[in-house]
Amino acid sequence: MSAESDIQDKLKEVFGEKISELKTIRERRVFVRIPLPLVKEVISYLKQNLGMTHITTITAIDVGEEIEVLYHFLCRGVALSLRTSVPKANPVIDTITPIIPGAILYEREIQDLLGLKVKGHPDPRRLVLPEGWPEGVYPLRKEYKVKVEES
Amino acid sequence: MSVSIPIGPQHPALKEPTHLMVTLDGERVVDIDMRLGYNHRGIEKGAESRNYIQNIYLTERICGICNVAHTSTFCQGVEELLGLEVPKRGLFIRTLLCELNRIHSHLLWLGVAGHEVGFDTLFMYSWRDREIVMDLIELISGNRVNIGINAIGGVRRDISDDMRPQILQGIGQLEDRSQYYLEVASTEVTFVRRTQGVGKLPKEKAIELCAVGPYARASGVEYDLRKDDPFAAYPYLDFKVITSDRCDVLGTAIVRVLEIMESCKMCRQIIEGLPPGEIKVKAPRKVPPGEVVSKTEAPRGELIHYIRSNGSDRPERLKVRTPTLADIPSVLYSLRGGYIADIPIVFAAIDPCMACMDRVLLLDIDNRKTESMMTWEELREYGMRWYANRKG
Amino acid sequence: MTRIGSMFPEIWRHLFRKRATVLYPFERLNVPKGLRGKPVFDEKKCSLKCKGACAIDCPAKAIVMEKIDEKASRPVFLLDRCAFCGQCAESCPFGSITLSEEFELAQYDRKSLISKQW
Repeated sequence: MSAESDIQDKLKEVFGEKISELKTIRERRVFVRIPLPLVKEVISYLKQNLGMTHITTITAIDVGEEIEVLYHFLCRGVALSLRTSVPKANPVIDTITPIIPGAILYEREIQDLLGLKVKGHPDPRRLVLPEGWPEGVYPLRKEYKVKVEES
Repeated sequence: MSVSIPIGPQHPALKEPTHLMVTLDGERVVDIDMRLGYNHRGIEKGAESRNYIQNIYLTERICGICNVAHTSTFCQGVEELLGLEVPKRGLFIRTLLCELNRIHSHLLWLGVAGHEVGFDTLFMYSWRDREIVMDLIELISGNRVNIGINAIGGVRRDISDDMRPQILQGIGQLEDRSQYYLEVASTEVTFVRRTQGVGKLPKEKAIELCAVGPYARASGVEYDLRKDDPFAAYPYLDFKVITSDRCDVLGTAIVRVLEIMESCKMCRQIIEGLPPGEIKVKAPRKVPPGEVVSKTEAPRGELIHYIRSNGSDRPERLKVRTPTLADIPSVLYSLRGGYIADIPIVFAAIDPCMACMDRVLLLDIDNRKTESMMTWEELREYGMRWYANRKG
Repeated sequence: MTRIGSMFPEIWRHLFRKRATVLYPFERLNVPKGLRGKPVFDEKKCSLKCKGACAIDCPAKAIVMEKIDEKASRPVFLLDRCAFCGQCAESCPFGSITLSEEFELAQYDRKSLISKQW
């Protein structure tokens, strides 16, 4: 049994109806959508039972009314991507650094560039934007337009 | 009593701007903190307003040293979204340039490491040998840096038969030279004393803090995407993954020199086994909606591009995570407890590429009213006022 | 087993060898065939009517289309922005742009790098 189908079956068995859009796109790529309150529980389950050791990155995309957050993990050689959505009006998620300490800089990056508030982060400073950058302006959101100077 | 001193952003020991705030007790480092973002250029936002063909060249300019890895990852991702199958000859040429780029990057690192410990002779000789690789890259692709060999659907230039003798001769010279550097790195007492036992990172900490690349492989973590998640022509090649259990900076040096030798073997296999055929398939300009996770092994470690498309000829979102960012928590852990004089070499052990790491700079004309953005004229006036106030 | 001065034999040998650097511009290195240098435009092959396939794909916005009349326009190359990537040569459906091997393009003034080749 391949690693992808093993991971898919175990996730379906433990979490059942709460997860959705579980698909294997090709070998070593699995995507799944989980609701926001279940994020920490699923990640702890992956670490303890499915041999997940490594987080590759955390991506955040502005899709209009919501911000979609993707966690990319490495789980027994498979690149597993967990997807969840937060409403743009109240973008708060919990930190996963107690479970995976390596995610510390990725959470600072999405907090800085997209305005997601990460609750409980041990070091919530800016990562890339300069100090005098105005509060409330998030460059990677769609409403932030870049003006091009023609010379 | 502890003293805090800032190192950077402008500092002779650092090759690229970054700010380290070091808290010292005598000569020992008690705590260290890092600020990034000095090379932030706006690439993720800029990619949303350019079409896919222009984006190949934009991603190439994320980093000058690992540019083939960035374009290969991007083109691979878009090819997967389009459902294209690249012909085998194109994959082999792409892999040949990835490996030549890796040799070039590791030789550059060897020179920089020699320079950081004060061994300038090694710096000069390894950069002279790097010219062999640069000449080969210029022969194959037309440019020494910013190679531009990848296109969506394959590669742009072919390798003709009269290039083969020169490539094989260059690879032979590189194998001899890297054997020599392996001896120098492990027997020259001035180099060994400054790198042995310095910047220790135990294996469990490397796994916990998610380190990648030769830095993690020097601590015994066997994670190499060329074997674990093969891409391009790697399934057809025969090579070993080099690890070391030394867990210090000398381990990273030895891992990198041995990787140069493995890369030379791979280049030889590619040239001798190059299949005939086409190098490229035609790619449509508009990409159907979808998303893709594309991962490759850059010279510094695991590189990931996440692309989401929306049916037009521009991407909806491009997310890039470069390997240097993944190594930062580990290097900050290994610097604590060491001496201040070891900071440059331990920091150089991850082969930092700040240009890769920061990636986003905002060109905006609207927000010039804030204090953070000043024109050159405003900055001059600010400086003159500051000095006038200080005197008066 | 470590010893001091393991690079000394190599340094001694290099005292009697030719230098690795060349005295540019008095001596020049040969560039390989196929070096990507200055873009050369052949007006006879250009259709003048395609609305700038070269300009759309230029990643550095280094090609500006100059109108001749209602329907026709020709490219003007801004060599100070050009990245010498060669995408314009590939995108042109008529093959009117090729990259030559000329790379010594430095000038004192940005305006002298606006290249109108007709």
